[in-house]
Amino acid sequence: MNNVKIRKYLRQVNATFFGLAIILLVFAAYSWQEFVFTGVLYALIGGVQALISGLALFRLPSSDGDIKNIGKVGIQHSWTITSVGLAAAAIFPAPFFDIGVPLMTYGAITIALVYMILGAFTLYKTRKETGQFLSI
Amino acid sequence: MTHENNPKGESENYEWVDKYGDYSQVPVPPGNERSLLNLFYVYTGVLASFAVIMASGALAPRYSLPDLIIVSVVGSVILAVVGAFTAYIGSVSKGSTYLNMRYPFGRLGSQLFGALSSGIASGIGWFGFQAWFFGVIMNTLFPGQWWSHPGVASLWGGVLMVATAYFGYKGLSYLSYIVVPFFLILASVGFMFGFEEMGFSELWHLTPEDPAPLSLGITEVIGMYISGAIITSDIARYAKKHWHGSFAWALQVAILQPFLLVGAGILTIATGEPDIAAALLAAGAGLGAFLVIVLAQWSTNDNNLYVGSLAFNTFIPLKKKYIVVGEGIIGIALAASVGFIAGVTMDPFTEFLGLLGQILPPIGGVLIADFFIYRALKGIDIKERYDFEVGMEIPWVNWAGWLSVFGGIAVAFLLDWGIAAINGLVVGVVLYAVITTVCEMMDIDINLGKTKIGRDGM
Repeated sequence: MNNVKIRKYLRQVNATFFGLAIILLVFAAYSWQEFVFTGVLYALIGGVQALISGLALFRLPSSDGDIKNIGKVGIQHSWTITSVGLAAAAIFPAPFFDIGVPLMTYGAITIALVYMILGAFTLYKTRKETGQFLSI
Repeated sequence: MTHENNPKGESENYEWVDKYGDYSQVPVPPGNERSLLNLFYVYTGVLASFAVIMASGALAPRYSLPDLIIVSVVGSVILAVVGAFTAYIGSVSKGSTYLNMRYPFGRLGSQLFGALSSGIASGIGWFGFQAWFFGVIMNTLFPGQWWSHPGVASLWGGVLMVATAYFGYKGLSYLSYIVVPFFLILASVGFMFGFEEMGFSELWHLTPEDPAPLSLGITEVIGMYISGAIITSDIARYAKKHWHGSFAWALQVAILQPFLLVGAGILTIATGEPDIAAALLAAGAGLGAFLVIVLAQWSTNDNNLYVGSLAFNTFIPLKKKYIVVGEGIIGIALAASVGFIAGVTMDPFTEFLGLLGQILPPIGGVLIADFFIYRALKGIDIKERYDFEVGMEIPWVNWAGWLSVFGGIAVAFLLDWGIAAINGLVVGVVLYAVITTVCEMMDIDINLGKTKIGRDGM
């Protein structure tokens, strides 16, 4: 895979992460009024993920540069996305944050799992395709 | 020339052989440095622990919320300044704290002081204590399970901690990347429960029954992490730019530590307990509580093994990873044996470790004085002050450094005023600066004996 392809993959995956973060922020806005702590939690996770994935889109170097620099940005941001995804997956199912709308609760858990799994896969793929250290 | 352990092969002049692994005894070669973010995460991985949370549990009942914020911020900023100085030394020399100590203490001094302060204290003692503590927390939160028995939990927890330390800096990095954002998010959620119990305005205006002076709280905040501030070079040696180590250290300790202390303080004031894991468990987030304990203790305790193995490696000519395993076996055996004997406390043991830790601040003071004062007065450029080279001569003993450390220790123990750790550090700085300046003026040699550094750094 050359620079163009890995860069395109990282742009697409971070755009997906950003989109999922926006959904969490919508959940936050919906639940804030009645369930303030659930709202804060969704806003916290959604805000952090939007920031990290949004920054990745800006930080990705152009495809005519060193492939390792592309890998560096991809790996740094994927670590954080994966870790925050793990935190979300661990805390979203807690009854304390249940707002009585199963679609929203299961939706949030699914988003957390996507962050975790796709983030981990992106780490693996970026490491493999760019040869960049995982402990960058 | 391409160095065998430098996969990028970017160094032309790197002549060292990394015989013991993880650049334990040699400077980190060009091309193997890590990013500013990496340093920040690894430092924060050490900070993200239950010890910090519990420390705030002890602080909070004695202060109002505004005073708790002052105490946390002032103490943390002082730690940030001290650690920034020592981190800068490592960023320049590319060597660990114990390699750097060869300049102001000589080879014997670096071995002896390193083994006492980091090898025995951190690598075996604190590692064993934290593994035992891990078992105790597990048992408290998940009682009645075979795997959460203090002895059993300290066994499997200890093995996890050895696993990442075995892989050296790389292992610490991987774990920190996973733990740090996770821990900060879940800690924030845990702290929310404090606000659920009590509103912000009520918390802000609450006054303690028996308030303590601000200076006492600042002393406690500094005392709980001053050892970490002295050995920042162990991580900063991987810095790409000289300021990266200092900046990463200062940023995490000056901002995240007050956040953790104040957050846990709010939880304590509101609920009577600082335990974020208990708060998460009460909210039904059993998995979150479990992972918080495992990951936070893990990322802190593998660092204890790591710094201990770096110190032991200065005189034990084995691969560093084998030293990690050796330390781990001793520490786990200690933790499990205490864990299996119900009701046993480790207080006398931690007091002994605390005493050993008291020698670190004067060591840090002497290092700072040697690098930033003595060698500056000699007109040596800052980038060349701790420049390790193959075949270079180093003293066996630098008696000025030894004397200054003993003086610092004595003052830290005997002077019943101020902050003991800071007293020791300042006396270390002043004594070393004075002794070396006087010796320089009177042309007295501060070094005894000479030995050469081989290609493997030994």
